[in-house]
Amino acid sequence: MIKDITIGQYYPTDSVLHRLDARTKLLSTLAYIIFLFLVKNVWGYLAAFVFLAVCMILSKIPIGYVLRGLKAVVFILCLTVLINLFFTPGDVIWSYGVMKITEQGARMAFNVAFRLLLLISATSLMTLCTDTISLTDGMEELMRKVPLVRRYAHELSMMMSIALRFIPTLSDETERIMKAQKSRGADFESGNIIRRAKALIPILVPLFVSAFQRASELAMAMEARCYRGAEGRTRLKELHYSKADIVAYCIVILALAGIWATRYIPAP
Amino acid sequence: MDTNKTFIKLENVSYMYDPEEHPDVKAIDGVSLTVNEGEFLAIVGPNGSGKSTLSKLFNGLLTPTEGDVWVYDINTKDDDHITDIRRNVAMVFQNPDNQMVATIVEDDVAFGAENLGIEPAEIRKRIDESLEAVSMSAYAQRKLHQLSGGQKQRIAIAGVLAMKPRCIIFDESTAMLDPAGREDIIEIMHQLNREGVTIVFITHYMEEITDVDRIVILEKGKVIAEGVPIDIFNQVNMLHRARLDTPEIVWLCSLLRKGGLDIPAETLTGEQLVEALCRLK
Repeated sequence: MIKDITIGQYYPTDSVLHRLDARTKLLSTLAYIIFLFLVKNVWGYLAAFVFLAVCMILSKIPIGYVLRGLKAVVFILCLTVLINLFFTPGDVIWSYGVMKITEQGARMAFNVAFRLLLLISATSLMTLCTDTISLTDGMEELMRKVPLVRRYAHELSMMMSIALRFIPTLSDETERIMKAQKSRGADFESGNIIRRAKALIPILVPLFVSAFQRASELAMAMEARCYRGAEGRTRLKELHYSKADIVAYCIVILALAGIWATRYIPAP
Repeated sequence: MDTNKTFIKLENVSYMYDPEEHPDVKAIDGVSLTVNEGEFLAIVGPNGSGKSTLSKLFNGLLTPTEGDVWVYDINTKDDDHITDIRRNVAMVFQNPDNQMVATIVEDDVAFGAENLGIEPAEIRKRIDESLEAVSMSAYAQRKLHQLSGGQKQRIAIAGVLAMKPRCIIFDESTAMLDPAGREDIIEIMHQLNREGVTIVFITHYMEEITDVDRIVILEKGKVIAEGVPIDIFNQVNMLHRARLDTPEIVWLCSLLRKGGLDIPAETLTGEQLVEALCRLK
């Protein structure tokens, strides 16, 4: 279950994308996501999709691996699509009993589905080709430029990097707890959705208890290693922009301009 | 004892986790103890004897409720110099998973050195040296969660070495490892000790400490015995009272002695016993 989440899991290859500065990748992804919401018609999604596909090929990460990240959101995706499909008022194009699909609903469902798919693929691609430390350092650097957030930039990025670091640990732990509860006769597979949700309680409680214990031990270990927050701290890998980053920014701006331009193509 | 060589000094230290509600429950109860520069000191005690609490008093992770802990001339209650203490008295914990900050090996090794504000080029150098010292150079770019427990613990040691400490406290660092991993870590401890690093090893496995310089036995927060391994191991009754196992070899020797064989008191390891037995005829 948790194993399917590829967001935040680094996949090392020697691609161009991997070598770009984390800030470039973060800002580009952010801009890409914003532009996804500005897309008006199918051409826009097509353009956005093509751009993402090119990036995926450039990253040299197996497509299957990127797509695995989508498995975790399939449920949410289907739910939003269905809600949009059946509950958007407008011109009815199909109905059966109380169920009806409207033209506006169909369009909305299509939009939401594509937006979510592209958004999640883009984010997971970004994290797959940026190692955690660069990613969080990049976020820290970018947050330093934002007023108000500036003061907490280091703390936020440290929290982020620790959270990412603990994903595999906690996912192993979840599996272990599940097995332990199953061996005592717990049943996670049968019954309706409420029963199944209830069955998760004996997993979540020990998981949380252990997470708190880990957190307190980790805090102690960090203190023992002289951690004092951002003050007086240096970095092994300092971020620096190279020529490739400038080129990348130009390409991204052009691509986003392209996506924007599709607003003026009439929808089919 | 040469007072110049005293590294860490505990003066009548008591520690209570909850001094207001339970002033009578003392995790550490009036302990006075010194750690000398360059020695290999083992602190043993049964579960709940306060040995983990004691270890955290050495580098100011906890400060004593009563008494004082001195590292050189610095009191661990002195918040302004706490970093000076911790860079010199480093610590390796029990659970390797809960002391790792980063996802990639070299990033984790760098963490302590980064906190000390060391130049990136120097950190890089230290990472290489530290990983070399624990024979993990080939793993610099690997993901930590894919390593075995013993390997993770070696990385934790490397992370501590990158701060160039003069003393390392191992707080039950072998307890969660398999026998092979445990042996590795102990070998590394001895290696570091030979290179001049003071080692304080906290454990409850008596087999692991047959060749240390000095042993301190802790029970219910008090030091009940202190001495060189031979003296400690031969106080069978005391060990039994403290719910500690005598190492198998020492126990075997005592049985052989009861059976009338003349085994010298300093026999602590299998090899020594074999030698002693061969000499009998």
